[in-house]
Amino acid sequence: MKLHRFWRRFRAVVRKEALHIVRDPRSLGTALVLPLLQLLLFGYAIRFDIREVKTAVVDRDRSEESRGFVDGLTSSGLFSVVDRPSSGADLDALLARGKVRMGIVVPHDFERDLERGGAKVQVLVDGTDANFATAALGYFMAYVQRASTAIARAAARRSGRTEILRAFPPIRTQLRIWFNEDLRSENFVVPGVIAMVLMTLAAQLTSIAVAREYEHNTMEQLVVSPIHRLELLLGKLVPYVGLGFAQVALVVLAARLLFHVPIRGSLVLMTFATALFLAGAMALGLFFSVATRSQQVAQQISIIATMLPAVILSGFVFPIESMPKVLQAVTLIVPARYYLVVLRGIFLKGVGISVLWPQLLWLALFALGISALCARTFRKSLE
Amino acid sequence: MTPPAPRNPFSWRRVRAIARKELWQFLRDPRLLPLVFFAPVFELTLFGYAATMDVKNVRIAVVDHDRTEASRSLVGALTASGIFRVADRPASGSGIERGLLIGSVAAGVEIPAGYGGDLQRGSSASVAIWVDGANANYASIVQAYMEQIVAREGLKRVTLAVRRGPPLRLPTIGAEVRVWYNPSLESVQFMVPGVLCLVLLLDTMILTAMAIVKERERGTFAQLVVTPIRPTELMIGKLLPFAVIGMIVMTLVLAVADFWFGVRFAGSALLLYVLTGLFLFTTLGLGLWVSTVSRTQQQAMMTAFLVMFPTMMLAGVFYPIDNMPEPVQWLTYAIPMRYYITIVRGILLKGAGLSTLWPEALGLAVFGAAIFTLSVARFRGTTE
Repeated sequence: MKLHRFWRRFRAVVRKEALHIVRDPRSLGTALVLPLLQLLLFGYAIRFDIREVKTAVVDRDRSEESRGFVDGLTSSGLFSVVDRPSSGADLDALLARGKVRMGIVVPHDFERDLERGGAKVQVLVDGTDANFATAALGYFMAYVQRASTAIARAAARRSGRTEILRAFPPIRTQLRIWFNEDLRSENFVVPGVIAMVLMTLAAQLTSIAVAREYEHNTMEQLVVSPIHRLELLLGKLVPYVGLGFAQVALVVLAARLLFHVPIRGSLVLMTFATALFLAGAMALGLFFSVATRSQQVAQQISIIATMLPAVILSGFVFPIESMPKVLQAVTLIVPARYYLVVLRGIFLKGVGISVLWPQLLWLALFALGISALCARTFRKSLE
Repeated sequence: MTPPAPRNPFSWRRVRAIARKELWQFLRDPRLLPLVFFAPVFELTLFGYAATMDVKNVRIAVVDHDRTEASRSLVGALTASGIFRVADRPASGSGIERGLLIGSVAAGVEIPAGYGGDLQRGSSASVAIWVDGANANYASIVQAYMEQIVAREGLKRVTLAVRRGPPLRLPTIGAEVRVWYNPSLESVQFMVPGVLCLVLLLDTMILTAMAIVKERERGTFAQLVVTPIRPTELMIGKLLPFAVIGMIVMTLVLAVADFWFGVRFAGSALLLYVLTGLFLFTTLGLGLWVSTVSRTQQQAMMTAFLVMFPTMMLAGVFYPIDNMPEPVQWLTYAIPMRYYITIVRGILLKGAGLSTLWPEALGLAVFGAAIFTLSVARFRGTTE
């Protein structure tokens, strides 16, 4: 008997909220378009990998060795020598104007020093974008190492000591790249975009849901109706969860069709994990809504507490291991971190619940915890 | 004959009244105020400390079938670099594979039996390296570092082998590195302009849009329109407080960046403020435009997001424009924020002046004026 009444009231709230959503085609359209837009942006436009770094080279030696060194640089594809200035001052000017990000100066006695045992080149890098500079330097040093090995081998060959020649390369590496053999940026980006987009929109939408009622003073009407607060909260949540699923479906479809991102694991598991994640994210937004009763404030808090952590602290772009210990600890309470592990696991690694159960457990606990917090805060606010 | 229309000259008094009302409404909200001022500091901290691609503490699994001095030396070289950390020592390659699957390690090294012997005999040895490719960018940097360390170790071994015969010098190439503008290679230097942009957008575009729409929702906007106030006065009065708030918040961000993070301020503060004022025409204009196309606060927020996200992504705030495909790079020329980011980076980090930055300032002025004019025209339409 009671369940029947609960169901009826719950359905009424769901219908009302769903009507709110549908009658606002702009917001609905944006909710569906924005995720796709994000996906397209990240998939096509934003590339994290370093390729063809614009470099300028000052070759003061102009010997065979120095030319070989510079030519080898371009053949790797990572660097692109766009200019060969004749003086250090010209190089400095190119760096200052931002025409090149890196500059290499090969000193006057490069070849001669090599014959004597060792030569040094000077590399200047634009440190404005520290991440880029670090990566570019890393690649450059790897190249220097390779060039060193090649030169050593050539020296060994010239010496006629064939037994040493046999030793090259001293250590051969057999490289196996797992899960994303071609190191496609898209495969890595798409799961992150899904997590980011869901987190952002989920919380934003629900953050306004309850606050709007307070601001329009319709909350009093709801309070004096027979509706229980649980029915109200759940009823408000459900349509947005539905919207969230629609967003995920769109993005995953686009990811498959446009970017050919593989889905090696179970879609069922992914749906389940998404439901948990959405529940948690939306409960969080709802919590802000209930706690602040102001759309403006709820929205601003939402951005800080959901979007930014989802992008920065989830391991999407910036590796968690590189963060200071304190922040690494903070990432432990960021839902997007766990959801990202699940997504990457299902998309790229093809693992199942036996591997991902800790993440799923955490997501479930988070959703429950925030919902409980929500319900409690709501009760207080009604008094 | 109709009587002549009454004269209604522009009145700064009315502008002040509107601005004061707007400011009061803002200050009266006990939560919005601290939020607007503390959020930027929080964001700066987050970006400054967390947003680093500095590769270190990479967890690796090591399988050593050889257990000779040579193999231990290789592992030692990996850990001594500070980049890698041995998190696991499984008994076989399948242990590495499992580690990659569950994500406990990001890479693995398997040294076959006979490694040391090969090196001793002066022939080529081999090692197997696994890398988790799921995080593609990270993976390629990890790979580069690994190859570099392995190659260096290899050369060291060959040099040792060479010593056993007649003297032969095996030449090496070294590199002397100089980093410009940011010698310690801290990401925060790069992030501060980005955070500044984000903060200005949030505070001057979104807040403005939502404030205007809130009033429209309440119905008080219509009441304002029927007063003698002119549309221009209404507009200036509404935008001015947010412009001021934006400037104050910007100062806060710069102060925190300087005193806490030690981000150097290499250029002219005056130039920065002037050009920021120019940028505000863009953000306020956008906020105004969003308010004219939205009937509810929810719509305003969603529309603002729709505008904000691509703008921030494509303006080179967090991701370099150089890396984008050519057609997209051309597109970014129409985004005023792109110029603003270049300006902020130039002034903060490189100490650039107007002589270098005038193209960007011009772009900002032109596009900002265009956006602002269009938005104002639309706004005036809504007041009639």
